[in-house]
Amino acid sequence: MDQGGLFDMADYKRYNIRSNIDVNLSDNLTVSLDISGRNDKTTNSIVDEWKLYQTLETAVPTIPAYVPEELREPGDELGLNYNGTAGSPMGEAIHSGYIKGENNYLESKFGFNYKIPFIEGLSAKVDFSYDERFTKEKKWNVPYTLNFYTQEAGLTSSVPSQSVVTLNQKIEERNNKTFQGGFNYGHSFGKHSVTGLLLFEQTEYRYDLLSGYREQFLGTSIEQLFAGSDVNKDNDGKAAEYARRSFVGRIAYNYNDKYLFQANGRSDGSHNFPKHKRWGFFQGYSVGWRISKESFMENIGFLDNLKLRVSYGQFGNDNINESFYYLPGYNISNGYLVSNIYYTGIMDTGIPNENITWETATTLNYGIDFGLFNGKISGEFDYFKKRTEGILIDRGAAVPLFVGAKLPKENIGVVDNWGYETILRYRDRKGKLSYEIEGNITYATSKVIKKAEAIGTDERLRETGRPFDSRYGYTALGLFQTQEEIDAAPVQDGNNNNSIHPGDIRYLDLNNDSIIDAYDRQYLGKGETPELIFGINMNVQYKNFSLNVNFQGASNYTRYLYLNSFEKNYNTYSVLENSWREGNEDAEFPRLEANGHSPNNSLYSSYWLKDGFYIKLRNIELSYSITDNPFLDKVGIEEVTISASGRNLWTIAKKDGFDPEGTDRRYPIMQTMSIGLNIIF
Amino acid sequence: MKKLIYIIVFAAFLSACEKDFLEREPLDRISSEAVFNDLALVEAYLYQTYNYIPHGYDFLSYSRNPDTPDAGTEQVGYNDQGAYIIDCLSDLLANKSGWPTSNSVIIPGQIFSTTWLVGLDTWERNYKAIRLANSIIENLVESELDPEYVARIASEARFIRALMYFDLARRFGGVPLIKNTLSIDNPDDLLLPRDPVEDVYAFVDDELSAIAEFLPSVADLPDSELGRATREACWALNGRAQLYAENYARSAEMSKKIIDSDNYVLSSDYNALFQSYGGDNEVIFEILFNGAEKGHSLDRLAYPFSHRADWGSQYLPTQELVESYEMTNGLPITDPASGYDPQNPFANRDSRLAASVLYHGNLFKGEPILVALSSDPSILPPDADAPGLTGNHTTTGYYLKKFLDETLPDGPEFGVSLTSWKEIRLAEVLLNYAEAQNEAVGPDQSVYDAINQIRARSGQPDLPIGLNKEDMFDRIVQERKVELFAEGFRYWDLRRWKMAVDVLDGKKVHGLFITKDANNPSNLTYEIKEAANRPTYVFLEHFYVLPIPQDEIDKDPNLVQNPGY
Repeated sequence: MDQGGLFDMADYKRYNIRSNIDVNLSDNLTVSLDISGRNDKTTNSIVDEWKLYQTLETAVPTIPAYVPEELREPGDELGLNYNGTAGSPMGEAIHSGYIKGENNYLESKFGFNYKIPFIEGLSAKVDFSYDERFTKEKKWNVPYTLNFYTQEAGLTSSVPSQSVVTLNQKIEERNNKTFQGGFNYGHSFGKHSVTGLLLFEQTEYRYDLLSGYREQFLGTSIEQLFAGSDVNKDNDGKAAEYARRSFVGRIAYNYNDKYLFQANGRSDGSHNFPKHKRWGFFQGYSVGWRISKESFMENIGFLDNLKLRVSYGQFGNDNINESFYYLPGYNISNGYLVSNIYYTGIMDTGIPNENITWETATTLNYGIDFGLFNGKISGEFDYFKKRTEGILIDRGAAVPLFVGAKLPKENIGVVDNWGYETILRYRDRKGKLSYEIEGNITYATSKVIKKAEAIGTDERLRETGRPFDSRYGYTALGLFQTQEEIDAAPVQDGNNNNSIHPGDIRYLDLNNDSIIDAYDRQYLGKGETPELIFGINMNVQYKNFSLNVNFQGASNYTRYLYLNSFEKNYNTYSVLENSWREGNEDAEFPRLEANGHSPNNSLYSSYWLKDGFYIKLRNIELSYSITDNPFLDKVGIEEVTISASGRNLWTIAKKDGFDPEGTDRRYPIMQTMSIGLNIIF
Repeated sequence: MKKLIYIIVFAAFLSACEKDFLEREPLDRISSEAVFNDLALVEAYLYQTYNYIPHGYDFLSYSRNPDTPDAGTEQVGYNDQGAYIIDCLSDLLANKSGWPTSNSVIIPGQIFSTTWLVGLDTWERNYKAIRLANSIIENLVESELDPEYVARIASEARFIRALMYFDLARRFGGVPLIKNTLSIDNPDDLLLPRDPVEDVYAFVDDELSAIAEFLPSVADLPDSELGRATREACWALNGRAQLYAENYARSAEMSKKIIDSDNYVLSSDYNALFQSYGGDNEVIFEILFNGAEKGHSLDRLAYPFSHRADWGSQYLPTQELVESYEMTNGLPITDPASGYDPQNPFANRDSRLAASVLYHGNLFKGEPILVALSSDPSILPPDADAPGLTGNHTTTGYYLKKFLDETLPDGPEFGVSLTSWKEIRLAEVLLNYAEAQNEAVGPDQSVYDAINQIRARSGQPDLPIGLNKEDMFDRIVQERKVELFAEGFRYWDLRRWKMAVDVLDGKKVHGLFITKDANNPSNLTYEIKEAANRPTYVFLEHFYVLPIPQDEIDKDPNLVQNPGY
C-alpha cells in the first residue's frame, strides 16, 4: 500500500506478507506455524503537524510565497518568503528536513493441538507466540533560507531559518512473548451439547530504546551521525518490562439450540500491582432462550427466530500509563550547572500507593434477537448497564497544591455507563437482484458516581453525578450591542467594564452579585463524546455488479470551536468576516481585535459550544466481478473483481466549514477515492 | 510420538511456572534507600531542587534532549516566572507579542485558569520546590554521610526554601508555612490556614540567618562549586527580603555585612558584566547555563530583527525608560540646564543607556542598528530594523541590548544562550542598603557612598549633598530604575512602594519614531508616539497582593482570599 499525503513529502508505504501452515503429524496431533511480517515506512515533515497548520492558517495572503527570481540572494534557489508571521509554510513543510520512520513487525505463533484419544471432544492446545516490533526513526533538520520580502519594501533581509543542522536517530525494540496452554472440550449428546475451556496464559513484554543526536554538520550531503560535530552530541537509552498471567475457565451448555447457558471466570495477575493486590478475579454468566423454538411458538409462521438473552460479566483493567505506582523511587530529572559542569538531577517519582489494584467493570446486558419472514427482516436490540469501579485516578482535584507532591493513582473512581443498541435489517432477492439494508443506532451515556473533588466545589461545578465528559464554564448571553447595555451590566473585567465594548461577549451573572467571576461558572452540558451514533448500510447486487453504500452519523454531543481573532499581522479564518461591527450587529462572532481576543472573549463559555451533529457518506463502493470464465480458468484464475470506491465523500453537519470529526490543526480527515483489482487464484 | 508431545508440553508448563514472573522492577528508576547515603545522589536531588529558582531570561528554557518528541524544545527547569516578562508589566519594557497581556485584570478563576499569562501565579511551582527542600532536610537527618557535609546540603535546601517563601510572600502576602513533607493519608490534616505575612518574613529571616554558618563564604568557595549558595548569598537575600518586609534596620544590617566583607567589587564594564558566562566578582548569586543541556533562549527572543528575524525582538525598551537616563553631567533630561537636545537625544547620556538599549546608531556586534523610517519609501527604503516593517520588528523604535550575547552567530536558536542570570549582585545590595538605611536612619554618609559607588562605575557624577530623606528616596528610585533595568525589579519595586497605581494604571507606553528625509538622509526627525499594539495598563488598588488561586480555596476552604477579589 502506498498512500501519499497532503503535501509533497508526507508519505506512507506498507508491505505485508503472511504464511499459515498447518501440518497433521498424526491422527490426533496437529502442529501449526503462523508467521506474518509487515514493513511500513512513513515520511513526514520535521515540523510539528500542529505548527505546520498554524503557519498555513496564519499566512498573510498579500505577501508572496516566493521572492521574485531576480531579487533573490545569490545561492538561494528557492526564494522562500516569510508568510507575514514567522516562517515560510513551504519551507517548514518540505525544505526543513524530514522525519523518516520505519516499522518492521514480525508475528509468529507456533503451537500444537492434540486430540486426547480416550475422551471424545477433549483436546489439549499449546501455543507459543513471539511478536517483535522494530522501529527506526530519523529526524533530519536542515535550515532553508528565509527571506523577508514585501512588494512595498522589497527584500529587507535574508536569514537562515535556523543556525545548525541537526540529526536525531532512534531505535526502539518491542517484543512480546506469550505462552498459552489449556484444554478444550466440546461434545454433543443428542440434543445436548457442552463445551468447556481451561486455559493458562502468560505474556512478557520488553521495550528497549537507543537514540543518538548530533548537530553542526559541515554540510547537508551526508545524513549520518558520524558526519556531525562532537560538540553537543548526545545519546539516550532506556528499557522497560511488563508481565501478566491469567487463568481462564469457561463452560457452556446448549439444549437443542433452545436453552443456552454459559459461565466463565478468570483470574488475572499483573506486574503493575503489589504482591497482596496483584490478582483480580472476574466472572461472567449468560443465559439465552430461543423462544421461537418452543412448541407454543411454532404456529407463528412469519417468526423464524426470537431469542432472549441476558448476560452479566466482569472485566479487569490494569492499563495505567506509568507503572509501579506502588513503589517509591527516584528518576533522572532536570539538572543544574555548577561551575561549568552539568550535573544531572534526580526527582522522586511521587507518593506511592501501596494498595493499588485492578479496575473492575461489571456489565449487565439484556438483549433480543429476532428474525421474520424467512430472514427477510431481522434485528437485535440490546440494553446494557455498566459500572466501572476502582478507576485509577489521582486526587489532584481535592488535594491542595501546597502539598507540593506528585500524587499517585488510587482506585477511587466509579463511573456508570448505560445505553441501548438497535440493529434492523431487511434483505430480499428477486431473481438476479439481491439487496440488503441495515440500520443501527447506539445510545450510550455515563454518570460519574465517585471521583476526587475539592471539598468546596459548588453544585454548579460538581462533576460527581454528571456525565463523564461534561463541560463547565461561563454561560454566554450573546453579544453586547450598545454602550448602555455594557454600563448596565455586571462587571465582567474587574475594572468597571472599561475594557468591554459593543461586540464583546456578555455573560450570565449566576449568583447575582453584579460581578462575573469564577462563581458564575457552571455546568454547560454534554461533552465531546457523542451519545447517539447511527448508521445505515446498503448493499445491492445485480448479476455481476455490486454496490455498497454506508452512512454514519453522530449526535447529542458538542464541539468547542473557539476561533481567535487576528494576532499581530497574521491571517485568520474567512468565517470571521461575520464578526460584530456596526452594520453587522447580528453577527456570529464577537468583534475582532488586533492582538487576539481580549481575555473577556476568550473565556471558556457556552458561546463557542456547537452542536456536533453530522451525517456522513462514509463509504461507497461499486464493483464488478467475473467468475467461471473459461479464459480465466485456463490461467488458473478463479475470480477477478474490479471496484471503485470513495471514503468520506459527503457530509451534512450543523456547523458549516468544519469537519465535526476533526480537531483543530491536525491532519484533516481525508477524502479518498480508490480503484481496486482483486484476483483469486 | 505421544511421549515427545507430553515432554514438550510439560517442559512448557515448567518454564512457564517461574515463581516471580510477575515481580518486576522498574528499569528506569533508583530506589529510595540508595539516595540519602550516597553523595552523588544526594547532590543530584539537591541540584534538581536548585532548578526551581526562577531566572529572568524567558518563559521557557530549552534543552537538547534528543529523545523528546520535539527535540530541542523540552522545557528544563521552571522558568515561567521569567523576570523579563515581569518587567514587561512595568513601564520600562514592552513585549511585542500578544502575551503577556499587561492589560489583564486579575480575577480569581479567570486569569489564573489560563496558563499562558505572565507567570504571576507561582503558587504551585513554589510549593513543589518547598516540598523537595523539606524532603531533603528530613531525609538527611538519618543519613550516614559526613555531618559537616550533610549540614551544608541541608542548608542549601533551606536557602532554596527560604527563597521560595520570600517569593510567595511578595506575591500573595501570608501563605501556609509548611516546614515538613505533608502526608495525604488524612484529608482533614490538609485544611491549613494562611500564616500572617509577618510570620513568613520572620521565618525567612530566621532561616537565612541560621544557615549562614554552615555554608562556605565566597572567599572559600572553590571555582568548581560556582553556582551554589554561599554565606554571602544568604545575607544578601535576607537583606532583600527584609526590605520588602519593611524591616529596614534589619535589612540594612544584612546588606552591610556584604558591603563590609570586601569580597565583591563592582564590575568595571556594565555591558560586559551582563554578557558574562559566570564568575564575575560583582555577582553574589547566579544561575549558570552552558547552552547545551541547560541553555536559555534570551538571544533567540531578543536579538534585533536584522540578526534574528523570526521570533526575535520580543523585549523592547520604551521611551519612558530611555527618558529616565540622566545626562553625563548628572542632570535629568527634563532639567533645562542639562543640555538635552531632543533632536540629538542620545548624545552625552548616562553610559548605561548605551549599554542597555539599542537605539538608532548604537552598535551591535560592531555595526550600528538603524531604525529610521523613510519619508518616501519609493526613493529611499527604510532602515532594516525600522519599527513596524513586519510583525517581527520593534514597536517602540528600540531594541534590547543588555544581556544579549554578541559572540553568538546570527540566528540563534532556542536553548543556545549561555549568559548567566545574575540573581543577586553587589549593585543591588548597595541599593538595598541605601534604601533601608535611608528609611531607618536617614540619608547619612554611608547612603551617599553606596549610591555614589554605583554612579561612579558608570561614569556619572556623585549625588548632590544636602538631600533630605524624601529627596534621597527619589534618587534611589531613579537609580534602581536605570541600574537594575530588566533584571526583574521594577515591577516588584513599584508594588512595594505602592506607586504602581500612579505609574501604571491607565497608561500606555511610548516609543521614539525616527524618520529620515528621503532626499537628504542625514536629516532626521524625531517623534514620540504611543507604541503600537500595546494595550493600556491596568493596575488597581487591590492588585498589590495577588489573589490566592481559586482552585486552592475550593480544595481548602480554610484559606481566606485576599481583599478585593
